[in-house]
Amino acid sequence: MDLSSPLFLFLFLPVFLLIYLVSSGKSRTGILLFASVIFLAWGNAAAFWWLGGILVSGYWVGLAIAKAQQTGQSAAKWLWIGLGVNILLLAFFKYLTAFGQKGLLWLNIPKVWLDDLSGLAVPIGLSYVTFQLIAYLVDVWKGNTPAEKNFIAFSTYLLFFPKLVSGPITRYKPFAAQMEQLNPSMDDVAAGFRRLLSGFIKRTVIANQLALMANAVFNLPTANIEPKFAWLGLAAYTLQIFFNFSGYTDMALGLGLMIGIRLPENFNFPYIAQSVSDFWRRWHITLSTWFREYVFYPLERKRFKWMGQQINILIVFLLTGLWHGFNPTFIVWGMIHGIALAAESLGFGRWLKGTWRPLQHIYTLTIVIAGWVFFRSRNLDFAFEFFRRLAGDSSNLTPLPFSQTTPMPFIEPSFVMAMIAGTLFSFPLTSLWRQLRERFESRQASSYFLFQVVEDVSLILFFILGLALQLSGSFLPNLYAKF
Amino acid sequence: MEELVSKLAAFIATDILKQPKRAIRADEALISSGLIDSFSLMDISLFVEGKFGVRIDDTELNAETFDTLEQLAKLIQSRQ
Repeated sequence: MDLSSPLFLFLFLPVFLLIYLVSSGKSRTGILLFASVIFLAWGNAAAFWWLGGILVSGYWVGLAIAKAQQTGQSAAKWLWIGLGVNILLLAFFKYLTAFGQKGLLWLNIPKVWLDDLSGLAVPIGLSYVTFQLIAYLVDVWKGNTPAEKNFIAFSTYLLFFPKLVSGPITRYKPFAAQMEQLNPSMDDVAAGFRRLLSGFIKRTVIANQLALMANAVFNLPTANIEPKFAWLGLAAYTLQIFFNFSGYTDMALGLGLMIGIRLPENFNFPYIAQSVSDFWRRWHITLSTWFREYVFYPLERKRFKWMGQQINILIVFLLTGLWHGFNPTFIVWGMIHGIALAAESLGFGRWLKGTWRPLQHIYTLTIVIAGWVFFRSRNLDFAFEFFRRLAGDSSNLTPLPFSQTTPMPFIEPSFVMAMIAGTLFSFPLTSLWRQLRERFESRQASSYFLFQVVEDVSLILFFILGLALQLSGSFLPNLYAKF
Repeated sequence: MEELVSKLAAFIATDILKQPKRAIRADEALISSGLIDSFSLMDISLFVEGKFGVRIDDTELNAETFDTLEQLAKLIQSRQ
């Protein structure tokens, strides 16, 4: 179930909230788990069984680590078993998605088994559940968090439906502390509802409109892509991926607030970053934090003397690429970022800080946007050809027949509006608005009502517009759900 | 406490920032201001571990745990 779908917004969410908010505090964890299981199993029963299996094994291994530590036995073997199961399963599904059943022929397994794997896709939320489980097991092993004995609390943490599909990645300890007091105030519910609406608007009014152009361009053969449309498609995709993913995150954080759980922020205006390392402090923050704490720092403790840090950075970004999929395009995307970060760690970053600020932004956006070409391309050949078009090379260009050009070459007003809105809201305009509100409200307290009415009416109107756009066009799911 | 802060300040200015003459105030934001990035945090952690015998966990290397020399010095003292 997608958070933007009418089924979720008009059936699942109202029914869930009604039951959840009128129930007593003690029963809320159970209601949350029940709702999360329905959310997961609805239309994706296979994912329910896979994630259920991982969850049971993770719960059991966590207890085994704690027990081994209490009895003075080796807990490390249990940790490695837990990590091994998670990593192998994630790698298996990513491999299967990238190479299909043919990619398993070298294993010489019976054909009947291969046939059984037909159509097997990455279970929804697997990448996120796996990473959270790895963090939990490592934290239990280090003694940073006690092993959870309550299976309902443990399952609720991993299957919590607002963050199940695309995060944000959350560590167990802060989540568990909040689960003990699931008592959202009416202010929390209202603030959560507003955040949910703004996330929906970002996805439907901005990202989905830009997706029409981005998909049209990137789904064409490069022989049919004119240079100006290559640029337009790339600009559209750059904004689409941000507004799609950050919109999803806003919805998840809003739902969390309504439930009484504050999830960590995942975005902080990444396109205003002044370096690639700054970009990764602003983009998919919880994923980069996970890689930093559970991969980069442990590697750094045993870094090689020569270029050790740079090698570790490259390892982390190779894994970041692979996490998105076992596809060479993701590996190249990861390596572009890794090389830029390695250069910044070598002193380029220090030099960059002292340069003209627009130059810092140009450098960062060049790396990031070049990376998106690989990230969005179906294969490396397409990506390299796409760069030729971006460079203005029109050789072997075969313009499409007029009947097949939609939405090109006509630029719809909705696309132009979405591009303008997307560009403007990539800047921290909302922070400026908040500052303006605070200044007025400190002078005249009653202006709060005026501002709030303006905000809420705008949110509702844009929500209706987003809903209309979604119902009139094809439904575009969350981009990060496939990872 | 002051001695601890000055040792930490000297290490950060010389080995991390490569500006030995740079004075770092005890209450100056280090991480949240971007003065120190995540590339350097492990170096600080290893320095603290080697010099003062205090381990800072990988998940604690962030501005929430310590953002100033004063906070870092307090953290070290509380674990010594």
